[in-house]
Amino acid sequence: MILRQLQRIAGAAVFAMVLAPHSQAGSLQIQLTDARDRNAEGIGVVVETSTPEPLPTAPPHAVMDQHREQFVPRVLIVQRGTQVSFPNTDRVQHHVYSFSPAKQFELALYRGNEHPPVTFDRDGIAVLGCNIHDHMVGYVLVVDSSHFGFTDRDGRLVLNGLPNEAVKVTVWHPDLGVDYGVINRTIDLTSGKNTAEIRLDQAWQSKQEASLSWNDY
Amino acid sequence: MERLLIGALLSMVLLQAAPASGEAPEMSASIALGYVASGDDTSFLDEGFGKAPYGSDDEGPAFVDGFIELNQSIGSSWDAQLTLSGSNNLSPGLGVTEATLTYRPLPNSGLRYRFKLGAFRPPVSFEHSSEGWTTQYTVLASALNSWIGEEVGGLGGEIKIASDDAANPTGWNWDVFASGFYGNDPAGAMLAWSGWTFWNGQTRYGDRIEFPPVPLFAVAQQSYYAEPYIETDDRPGYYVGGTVDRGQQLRLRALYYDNRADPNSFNGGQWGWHTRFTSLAAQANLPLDVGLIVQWLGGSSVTWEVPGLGAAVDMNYHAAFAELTRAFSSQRLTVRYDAFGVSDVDANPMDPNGETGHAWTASYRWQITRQWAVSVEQLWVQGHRTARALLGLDPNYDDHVALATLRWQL
Repeated sequence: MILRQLQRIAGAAVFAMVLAPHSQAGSLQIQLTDARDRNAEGIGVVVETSTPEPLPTAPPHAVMDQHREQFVPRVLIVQRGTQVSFPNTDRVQHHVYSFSPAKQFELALYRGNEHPPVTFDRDGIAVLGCNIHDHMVGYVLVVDSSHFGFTDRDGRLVLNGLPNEAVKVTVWHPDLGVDYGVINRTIDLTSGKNTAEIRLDQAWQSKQEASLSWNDY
Repeated sequence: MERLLIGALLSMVLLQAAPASGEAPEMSASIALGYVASGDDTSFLDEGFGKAPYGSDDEGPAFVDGFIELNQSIGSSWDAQLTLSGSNNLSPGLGVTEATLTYRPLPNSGLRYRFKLGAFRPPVSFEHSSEGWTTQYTVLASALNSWIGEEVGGLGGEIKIASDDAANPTGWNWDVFASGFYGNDPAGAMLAWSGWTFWNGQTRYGDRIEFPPVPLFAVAQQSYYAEPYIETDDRPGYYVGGTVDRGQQLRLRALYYDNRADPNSFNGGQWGWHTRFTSLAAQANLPLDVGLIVQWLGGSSVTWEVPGLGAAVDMNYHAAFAELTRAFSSQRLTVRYDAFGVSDVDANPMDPNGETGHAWTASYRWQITRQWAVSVEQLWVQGHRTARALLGLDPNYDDHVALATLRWQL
């Protein structure tokens, strides 16, 4: 649902080009490039289908660590109902919170893995902070889909197990800008198309470790 | 130094013995030893006009610096922190540089509130971003922030209100802060009589730093040492400021400090110095992952206003630096340019305080493991200080120091 909302506010231009079919139906390969035609690494891709998702036998589980005073990974995509653990592998304590409508919770001061996982049961984007380290920000995108991932170094992501139908592809990363830079495309897998090239309308460089500290001692 | 080493060892033992529970205090610590090749001047920490903490007597193996910081959370919204620091040419080995009690409620209104009580420094420095108020880009801090470590800080309270980064993660965030404090009335004395310097250390509560022998002291009954953190007139000082930042790409801060000291107050050999300054700081991530820090500070200090004769010392001063730093995985290269000056406003010929100078610093740091790091650094300082002639020195100076350090950190 949130993806549909975000679809309406997305302002980024997109060029999707369908290539000649040469791989099996039921899978989709996405190739993402930026405005300078460089492969765009580390960007989230979610594929939504009209076929209802089969209910998982056990709740999916995901992990967002806190390491060197950063959330690791900083951006997480999970299926609705996923239980996410927030271990703290730093030597210092963290105090994780979210006041986002998608999920509001607080993991009071802790080290290690002393809090139980948090279940993300509503679609949307939960932005996480730390009450000790003001600059720490993490993102959990909760979607009603089990088909998602992040592009690799070559800007590529392959998703398998898709139904043979028209699917909606959403490209998302918080660093793409306001409104989380959502980009949407519909790809019709029934026509044998299973490769999509998507080009961002901005230059993209996946965030390296900053050369500066943003701590305020 | 022995005491510091013993302290560090004791702390290591305590930490090994402490159970890894949420109730145990967090501890950070660091100790650095090194080899120093210094210039001909005598260090400002040793009654000289040398610009570095190492003078001609300090050539060879040396203790560099160290600290121990303890942080104890009390419930989920309070924490108490104690920082002990030490560095070369300071005795005893460890002393208190910061002791605070902070209340930090969750930002559930979209705003962060921070209330701090205790002994602390105003948040001028963008260089001192690590535990123990230490730098991670260079060993020796800029002249500007070295001065903050030398004689700016007090005992009081600070309130800070900030936007919550998580509520607006990709836009501009901000904070505003204000503090009232006691016990920083002699601030300005070291700048007047020792000048701008470059330091990895900081003065601790109770420290007495001896000045170069200046003839004025006999007349003014001023002690031959600086003792920055005392109160001479029971008038509180204040600082106010604000910061804006955007997505860890750009941060700007302005701060105004006024210790409101009565320049004719006198306590235990120290005069009150009415010291006011404005500080502007910026940091940015530039293309190619290069980090930039730029700071400027300008202010004035006046002490002992004699009716009909004017002030014993009345001076304006400024310092600025620009620093570029780039991390290459576990290694880092940093280069910094400093410019600084003091202009004498008073007409007291017995005590010239004027100075003008500039400096280059080049630093390499290799973080070998999480606990061990080595640094190699060179500082070159050139300038002119009239007061040097009082000690028979050439007013034009050309000081330098090279440092190789091995640091252990917890």
